[in-house]
Amino acid sequence: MKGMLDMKKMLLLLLICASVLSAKSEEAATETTIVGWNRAAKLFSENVKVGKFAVRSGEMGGNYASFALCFSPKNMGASDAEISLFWRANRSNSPVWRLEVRLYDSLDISKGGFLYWRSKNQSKANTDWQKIDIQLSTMKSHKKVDPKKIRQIFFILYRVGAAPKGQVHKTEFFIDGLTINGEQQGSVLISPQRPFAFRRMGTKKIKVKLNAEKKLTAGKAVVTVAGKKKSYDIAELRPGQDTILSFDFDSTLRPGKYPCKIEINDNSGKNLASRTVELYIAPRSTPHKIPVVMWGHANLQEVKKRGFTHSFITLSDNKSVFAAKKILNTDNVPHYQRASKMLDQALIDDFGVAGYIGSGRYLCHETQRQFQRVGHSGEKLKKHRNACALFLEAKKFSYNTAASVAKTYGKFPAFELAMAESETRDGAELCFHEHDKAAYKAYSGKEIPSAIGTKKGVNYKNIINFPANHIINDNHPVLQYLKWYWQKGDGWNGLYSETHRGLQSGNRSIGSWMDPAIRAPSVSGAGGEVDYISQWTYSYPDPIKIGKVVDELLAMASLSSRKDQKVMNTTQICWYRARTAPKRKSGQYPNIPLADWEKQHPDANLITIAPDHLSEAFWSQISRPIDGLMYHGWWNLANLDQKNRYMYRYTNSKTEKVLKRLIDTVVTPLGPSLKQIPDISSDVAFLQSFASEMFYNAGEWGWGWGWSNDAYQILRYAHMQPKVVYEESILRGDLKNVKVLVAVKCPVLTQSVAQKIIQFQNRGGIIVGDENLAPGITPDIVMSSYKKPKNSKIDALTLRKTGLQAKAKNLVKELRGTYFLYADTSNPDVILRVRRYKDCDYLFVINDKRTFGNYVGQYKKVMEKGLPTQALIKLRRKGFVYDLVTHQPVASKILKGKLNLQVKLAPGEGKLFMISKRQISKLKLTVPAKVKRNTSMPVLIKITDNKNRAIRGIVPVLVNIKDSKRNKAEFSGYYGLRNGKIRIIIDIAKNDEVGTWKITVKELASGKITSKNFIVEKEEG
Amino acid sequence: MVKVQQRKINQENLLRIQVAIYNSSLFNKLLVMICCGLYVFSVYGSEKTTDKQQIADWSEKLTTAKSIFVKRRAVRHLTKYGIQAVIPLQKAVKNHDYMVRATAIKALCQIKDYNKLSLLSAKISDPEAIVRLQVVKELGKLEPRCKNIDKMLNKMRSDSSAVVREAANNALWPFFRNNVTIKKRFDYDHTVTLVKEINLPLDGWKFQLDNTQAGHLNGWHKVNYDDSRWKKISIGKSWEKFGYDYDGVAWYRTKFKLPPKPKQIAAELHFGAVDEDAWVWLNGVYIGQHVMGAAGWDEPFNLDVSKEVKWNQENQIIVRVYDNIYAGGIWKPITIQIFK
Repeated sequence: MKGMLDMKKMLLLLLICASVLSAKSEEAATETTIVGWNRAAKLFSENVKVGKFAVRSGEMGGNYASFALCFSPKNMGASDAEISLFWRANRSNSPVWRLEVRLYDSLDISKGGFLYWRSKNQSKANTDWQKIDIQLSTMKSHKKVDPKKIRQIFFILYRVGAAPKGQVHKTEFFIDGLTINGEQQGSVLISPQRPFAFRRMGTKKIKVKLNAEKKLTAGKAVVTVAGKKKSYDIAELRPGQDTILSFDFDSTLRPGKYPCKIEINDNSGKNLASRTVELYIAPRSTPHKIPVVMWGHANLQEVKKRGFTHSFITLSDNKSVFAAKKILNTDNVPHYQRASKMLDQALIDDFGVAGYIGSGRYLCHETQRQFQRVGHSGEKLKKHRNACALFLEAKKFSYNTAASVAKTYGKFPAFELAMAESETRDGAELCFHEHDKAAYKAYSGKEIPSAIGTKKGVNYKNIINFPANHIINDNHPVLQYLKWYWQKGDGWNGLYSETHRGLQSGNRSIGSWMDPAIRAPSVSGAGGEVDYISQWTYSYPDPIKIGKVVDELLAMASLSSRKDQKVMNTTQICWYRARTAPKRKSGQYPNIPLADWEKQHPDANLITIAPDHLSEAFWSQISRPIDGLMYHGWWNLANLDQKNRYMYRYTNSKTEKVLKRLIDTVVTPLGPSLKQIPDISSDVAFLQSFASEMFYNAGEWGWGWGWSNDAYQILRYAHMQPKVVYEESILRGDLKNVKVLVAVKCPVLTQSVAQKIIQFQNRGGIIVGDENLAPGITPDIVMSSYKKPKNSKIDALTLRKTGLQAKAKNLVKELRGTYFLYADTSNPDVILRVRRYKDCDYLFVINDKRTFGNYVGQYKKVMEKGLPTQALIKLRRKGFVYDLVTHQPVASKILKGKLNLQVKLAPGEGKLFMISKRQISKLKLTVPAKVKRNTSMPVLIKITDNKNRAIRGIVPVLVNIKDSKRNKAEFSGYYGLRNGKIRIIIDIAKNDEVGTWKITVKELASGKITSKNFIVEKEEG
Repeated sequence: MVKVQQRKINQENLLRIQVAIYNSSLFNKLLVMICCGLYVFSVYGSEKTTDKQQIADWSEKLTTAKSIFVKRRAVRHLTKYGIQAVIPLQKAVKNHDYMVRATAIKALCQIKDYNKLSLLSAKISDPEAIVRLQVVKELGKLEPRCKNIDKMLNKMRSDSSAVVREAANNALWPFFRNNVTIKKRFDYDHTVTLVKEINLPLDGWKFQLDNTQAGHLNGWHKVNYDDSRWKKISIGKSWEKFGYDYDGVAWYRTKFKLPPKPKQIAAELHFGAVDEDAWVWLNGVYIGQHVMGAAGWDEPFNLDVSKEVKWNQENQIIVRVYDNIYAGGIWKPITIQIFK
């Protein structure tokens, strides 16, 4: 803060080098215009004509005019200096003008001292303001400019392009809003404090910092917004001391931009300084949107272009908060200027920001060795891989960091999500501080058992007298300790909860998430109390396996102590070379020609996911009741300037188009409906046993490989719809409506779980086990694990898929007559999934037919190329079918009581059908005929059958509201009509357009459209 | 469930009778004891009758039921009766349903003094892999292990089913040692400090794939085995890096020299990580194993070798590695850690 004041002071000492020489005669080929302080002060306010310039073509020294601002040494003292201005050249007879901004470390540029330049053109046709931004902190290291060295900012105005020799070109040149480090300069510095962008409705407080060159008493501030002027008394302004001017901004006005002019006058009414900022009112968001988050830092505009709704900005200041040991408002750090500007801009662009907190990672840093984990004898572990998160200071710090972020940035509406932490837990090892031991004793009344292997458990073969039936006591000391460790003992879940609480400590809720949540065994608690849990998932070799990961997350979330935890899974846009197309060593793969991308990026470590894989992975996830989608691997998706791309390479241009299409055609229009559609109550349960994971290392840690994953895939090929259950789920009664329990890789079970399973079997439930099922349980069906056949000439992936599909066929055959599939097809390459709301089923159909292509397939590691296929789908129900992606009814037949639906699928394609008991016949829209401004009006939308009965389901619609000038109005967008109806309240603003407005509603199941007009009148009085 | 409850009621009634005898006069005691005798006879007689009836019922279902799941449930229920149900279980071993046969084999092998070897040798050629798998599992449990058992298990190593082959290989795997490192010893309650670490060579290892998992049968773990024909390899990187795109078992062998014995309380082999499972021999002695499956791919582990290590001499280390998925092998360095 002090630095900023110094800077302002120093700016006031701006050197006056000469008087204005702008209005030169036309003959002057070029002049250097040194702008003096009085004039410079005006440059910092709005729309100042610097002067008239004339340049002559083709002569020495011609073609340009220049002027300079000269600074004293300290006025750019911040490490994160930023210079920004708007400029404009008027009444030009030249085709193009260019402004070049140069930075010098000398006041006399004839002696050199050039540091940096940036330029921008203004075309003939374009008379808009051009913006130049120079952000010194983002420069490449070899161009890095030390702000402290800057003595002079030098402007050169060029005439660009060929012209006859000697021709004179004249212009008037304007500069507006020149800011240095976000501060406008003048005799009274007026610094409005962000946010400048708000969500509509309510009254917002705008704060402005004032700092005067000279002492001012009894002045006035005049604020003009939307044509309304309001005056505020200023008792006193003292030099070098900030005074806060605060005024209300009425955000009930209609969405849009509102210039706000702030003028400071002395007691005689003379204007000392003025500044205009643009305030923005953003429309309120429509409900139930599904966020699509780019996991990582990237240019927000570029990310938005590709369909995403959110991306990262680092918002936390761990270092300051750690030092202060308390909650801080960190709006005085250099980073705040940039972050706050981005947050405002994000809202203007209808984009959301996900803040990165990362306090846990800070604790794992080498400098924080006091938190280091210790071994059995209390010795510090060799490497500081991970912090002991059970330290009370660690939890307090995490709370403080998150609360500081909420305090500093909570006022920015675009700040909607925050990543509490990522991967911090992975490096944790068992820890034996006195507080660890005491915590375990308080939990169990016992000492930590010494027979613990690692946090991943101990093989039962190492345990003497292990029961022959592999059914162990629920309070087995090793099991009890490891359960405690994973739920509470490593401290991370508690720490994530603290971060979540810290984020909620402000005046609004910010959605928190943690990943990868299931890089942990199958026991509840991962992620603590964060709002969303997520997992990083790679699509190879089979994209549908991502579905299992999501099901695991859903199981984990369902057991969360906070009850309403949600799932927002991450798909990796990046593929590891080693798993897909290995880097070649000399002589390797002589018969495989290099693909174009390999020639272009031989060094790539991470390449772009194949488009068909991305599509299948997308459908596999969206077919589950998830609340958000995340993607990681920005540089694999965007072919932009490749700086900071690390090991990521853009190797497939189709992928970004596919993702954009999926977001545009599925997530955006159908998201508000999908978010309201629950899963069906599955009658097939898939057990993931914590005891087996700890005593047999049966866990797959969310990677989606191994026999457990294969078995899940078999069930999907068999068109069963399993749900993942943990031991805790079984103990709370989740086998109640289950008909088939699949228990593979479950060689060790606890007594209570085994008892529940036997009870389930005794009441007629069917157990499908594998060759390793605990001997204490006798399964009804043994589905032995898939083993690669020996000495086959066929590639491993084809063999595996064929093998798994054969097992699926066998399973269906064994279950015939006992278990009946709800949705079925004879095509095993077509994956089905059903969700349900009341009378409506939502059937997802995914094409999993793939082959080896020539992107990476030539290495036979991934079948990345989708193939078209078709299927006859049978559902054990009747109803009317609608394609929700193409918005049209679909022909179907009822044969033997089953609904028969013929479906054609393009490569990697997914489809979503709504099957409704009632046929959609009418789309009704009710609006009042007239409404006055500054009042609210209800809009009622109903979808019914021909007997006027509502469709009992969730039906997607698009609502378009246009004012009398055909501008899109607030609350236009996509909705999901619950039970076939919705009531939207529209608040007509006092400055909304009067005249005839139009509402158009398109129902996205059968494609019906209706519209109504209404008149907006001036408010009374 | 009903049966268990009935037994509880019967036991409670017997307790009541005992209390009544204790509290009554001599004549009454006599009278009560007669009644008691009659009651006990009726209870146990009825239980026995019930058991028989139940066995008969389940046996009938086993032969007459149309649903395979009813048959499978029937054989599971028969298992509970043990020796009493031996005849229907023996019949069940010949049932057309493979799960009934496998469950019956499991049930019969739980009966004490039953001639298991004869049963298992008869079923070793069952057409269904699941039944043969059950046979292998039961053979693996039989003790004492005789030549006949080993012979049968050896035969199963070339079974057409990979699952059966793997189970036979596991049953024949003779090596196991519960290796407890110094820090985890109950009997050593002192501070343990790592004082020195000696790196084992990264290069100069010999390497051989073991597709059939027969390496130990061929003596690959023995000191004198001639490994001159094995391929050369380095550790510290996965075997894929050396061109072995392979999942399965492989063996590493090398020799290294150690300096004179330092002051120490323990010496341990420290493996940075082996992807995935490892079995280790030092100087011909089986040291221990690290068997965590895929979850153990990046887990460091220690094995105590205080007694087996030879100071100021050449030592020989042999490591058998099993990898199931993705990269495999000794992909991080090995050291000898000296503790004080």
